[in-house]
Amino acid sequence: MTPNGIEILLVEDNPRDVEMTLRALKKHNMVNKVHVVTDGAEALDFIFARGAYAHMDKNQAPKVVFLDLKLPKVSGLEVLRAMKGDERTRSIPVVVLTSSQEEKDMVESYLLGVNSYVVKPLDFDNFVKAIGQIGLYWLVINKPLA
Amino acid sequence: MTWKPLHFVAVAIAGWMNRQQQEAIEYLRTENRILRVNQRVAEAAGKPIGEIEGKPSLEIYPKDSARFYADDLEVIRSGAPKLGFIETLYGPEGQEIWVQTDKVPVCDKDGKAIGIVVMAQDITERKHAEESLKESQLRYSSLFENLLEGYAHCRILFEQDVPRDFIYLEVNSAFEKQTGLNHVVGKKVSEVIPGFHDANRELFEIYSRVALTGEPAKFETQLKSLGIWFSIAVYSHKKEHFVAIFDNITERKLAEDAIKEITAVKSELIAKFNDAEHIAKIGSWEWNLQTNNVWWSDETYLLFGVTKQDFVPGFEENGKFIHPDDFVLYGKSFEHSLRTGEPLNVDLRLIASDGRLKYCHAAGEVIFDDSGQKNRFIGTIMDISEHKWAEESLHKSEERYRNLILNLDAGIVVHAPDTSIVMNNARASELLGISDEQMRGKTAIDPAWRFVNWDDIPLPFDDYPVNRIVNSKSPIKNQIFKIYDPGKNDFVWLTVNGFPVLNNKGEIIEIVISFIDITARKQTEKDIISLNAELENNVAQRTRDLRESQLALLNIVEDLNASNKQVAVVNQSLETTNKELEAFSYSVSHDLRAPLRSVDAYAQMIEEDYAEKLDDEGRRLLQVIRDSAHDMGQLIADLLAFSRLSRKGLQMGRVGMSELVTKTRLQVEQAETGRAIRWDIGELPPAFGDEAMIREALINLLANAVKYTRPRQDAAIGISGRVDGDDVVYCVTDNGVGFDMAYKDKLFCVFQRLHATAEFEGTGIGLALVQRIVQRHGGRVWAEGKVNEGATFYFSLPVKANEEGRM
Repeated sequence: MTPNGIEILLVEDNPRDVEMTLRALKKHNMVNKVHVVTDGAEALDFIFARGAYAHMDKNQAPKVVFLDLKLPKVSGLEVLRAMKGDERTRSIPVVVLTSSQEEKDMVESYLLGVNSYVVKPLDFDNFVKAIGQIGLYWLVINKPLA
Repeated sequence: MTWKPLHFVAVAIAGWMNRQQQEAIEYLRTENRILRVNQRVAEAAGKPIGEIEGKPSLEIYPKDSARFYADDLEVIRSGAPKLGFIETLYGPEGQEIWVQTDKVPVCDKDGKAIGIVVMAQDITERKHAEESLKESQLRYSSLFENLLEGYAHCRILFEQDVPRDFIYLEVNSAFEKQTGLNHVVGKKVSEVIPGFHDANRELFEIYSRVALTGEPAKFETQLKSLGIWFSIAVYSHKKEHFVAIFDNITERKLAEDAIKEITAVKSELIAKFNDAEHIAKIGSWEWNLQTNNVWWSDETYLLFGVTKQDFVPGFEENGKFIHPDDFVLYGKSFEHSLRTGEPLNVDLRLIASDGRLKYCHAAGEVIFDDSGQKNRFIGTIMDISEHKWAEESLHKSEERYRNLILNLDAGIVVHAPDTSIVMNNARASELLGISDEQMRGKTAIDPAWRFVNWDDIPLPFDDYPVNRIVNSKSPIKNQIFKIYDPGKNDFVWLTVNGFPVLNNKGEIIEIVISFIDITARKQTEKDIISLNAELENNVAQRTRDLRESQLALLNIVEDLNASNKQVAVVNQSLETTNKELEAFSYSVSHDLRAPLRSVDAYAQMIEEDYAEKLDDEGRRLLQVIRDSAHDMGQLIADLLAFSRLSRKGLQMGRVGMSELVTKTRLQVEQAETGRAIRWDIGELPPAFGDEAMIREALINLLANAVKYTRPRQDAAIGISGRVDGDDVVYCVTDNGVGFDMAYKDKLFCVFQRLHATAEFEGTGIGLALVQRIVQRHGGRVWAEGKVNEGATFYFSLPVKANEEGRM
């Protein structure tokens, strides 16, 4: 448990999708540790502890970032690039969580060093199941850098 | 004059008597009485002094006394001494003694001679010596005079210490004979032979050297001034003197020269002889019939290939070289000649020692001596191989020449100077249509010939080829005319060449005519002319046509350019469209899905959160919402797949269909669990195409098969493939619900379905997708089915690389 208390950073602009994701996380008892940002710029501010989040502890990082690709201001790929391009944040696991099955998005993401690429299932049951598996893996099974 | 010898003598004698033992001195009185003697006289007389002194001279010298006395008286009377008189007397044993006496008168004070003193010297030895000297001198001068060689004793004369001349001191008669010079003694050589010193400087130097050094010399020289050759030996017995003994060897020298010349000439002759034999390839031989020895000249040895060192010729030995087939002939010919004395003339083959075969001609003759006996058998042997070969090749060449003439395609006729035909070849008869017998004897102006000119006028006789040659004595070239061929009863065109053969007097001995039939050529010429005319017409026409075509072509090109521009424009717009489509798909895949998810999610949320407030109907309605959302999602997926297909390019490669089918089967089975399907998969030949797309097609087909066999308990799906020319035809067959063939055309249309969604879910895209994919590979799809009796779907793919199919 981090002092900031944030384990999952959810970067998603669609409020409905946010609600669905949080509901799914809630079903798996992981909702307490989520922080939501709704655009790419805010995401970067949070990650790099600047702007509105300047007060935050720079040395603390979430255990995983759920990143949507289609975002206002700064796109998901740009966020990914910034995070993976910076030594301080490179090691933070990023899971792209997107509706896009476009190959070029996938290729680009992997080239940028994404840790996982998940296409959101249309079926809600499947969606909930997937979120649970992802959360379990990254929060419990995977060992982050201390 | 008062001569007072006594005193003189007495004084002298005193001392003398003691010294000179040899001389005997006597005192004599006028009365011829010996007064005084010395010991020597006593010894000579053989008596003691006492018995001589005072005795008359007669007693002592009985034989000689009278002579003495006469002499003595003469001296006394004259009062003049007589000195050096040489006389003999006899000793006591009667031996002859020579003495040299000096008689001196003794006078008294008045000068009257009263006595005589006789001094006698015993010169017997001297006399003997003189005698033998004289004898030897005689011998010597005898020799000297009789010497064949010339002898000259000379003394060198100097001029300022340089030898310039010599003087003849002594010469013998041989000298005079040899040199032809007389009375030279006492004369200088410069007087006797003027210019001697300059003309014979070397000789002079030798003389000088010998005279000065004493070293003898021997040499031969020619005295140019006399023209005579001498062999000279020079020695010196006394300084500045020399003796030359010389011999006139002119004759010998001439003889030597003559011999040298003869020897040289002889060698030259022998060499020339050998050369001549060698060039002519004739060797000579001589068989001495007495001794049986055989002599061979150098060339004969060469012919046989042996040397004088390693082979001794002989009749039998020589036979070994004769060709075995000619051996008998060899023996017989020689034997015949020997027996009959007739000359030998035979051709024989030799096998020389190096194995070479030589044709030879042997000729010879037996020589008899004076008594008619067979003495020698002499002859030659000539290598005629080259002749033989020349003959052969001449024969061959004649043969070739004959064959050539006979087989030539040109007709050849040879005429005698009177123009009658001597020889012709087969072609000539053929061309003229006359047989060989008919030819012979015909002359050029035989009426049977009918030579006709270009314009059908008969050829004048002078223009006949043979006659032209006879008249001009020079060749003719390419004379063209027609000749009537009696065989064909038609004219034949000929081109004629000919030449005269002249002897060395310039007279014609033969006329050779050759001609070829150019009738065909003439015809061809006519044809060519008419063809040419035709061609020109054709060409004109073609040119016109061509120009028209060109114009048409130009138009087409312009149209094409315009089309190309249009195509480019269309392409451009197509690209734009493609880009727009891509954007569209992306949008669809992302933006459409999100709300759809929401619909399903929120419906679920209602169901979960308000479960107790909902009745069955309420739950059913929610389920409908969820199902619809699900359907829409599927539709979107299919549409996306369909459009992606159009956008992507094909990545062609070898596709292992068996493996692909295995993978897709598993995938499809996983989607529909809990069913027992019997799969019947045959050997599937590989195809050539885009693996991803073919996989997509297969998934759709297999999924369909699985779906439509759901009502069956014993669902069976079969997959097979076979090569058919350039394609492989695969088929997926099932025992499902099948379809009505009446609707087979609708099967592959987009969104067209043959079943209600309630029966079987589906969007109606699957088969359209399959068709799209297969057609892009240049293949075909088709299906067969019967309602409730299953369906079979076929599709063909190329076996190897094919151009991309139509879009």
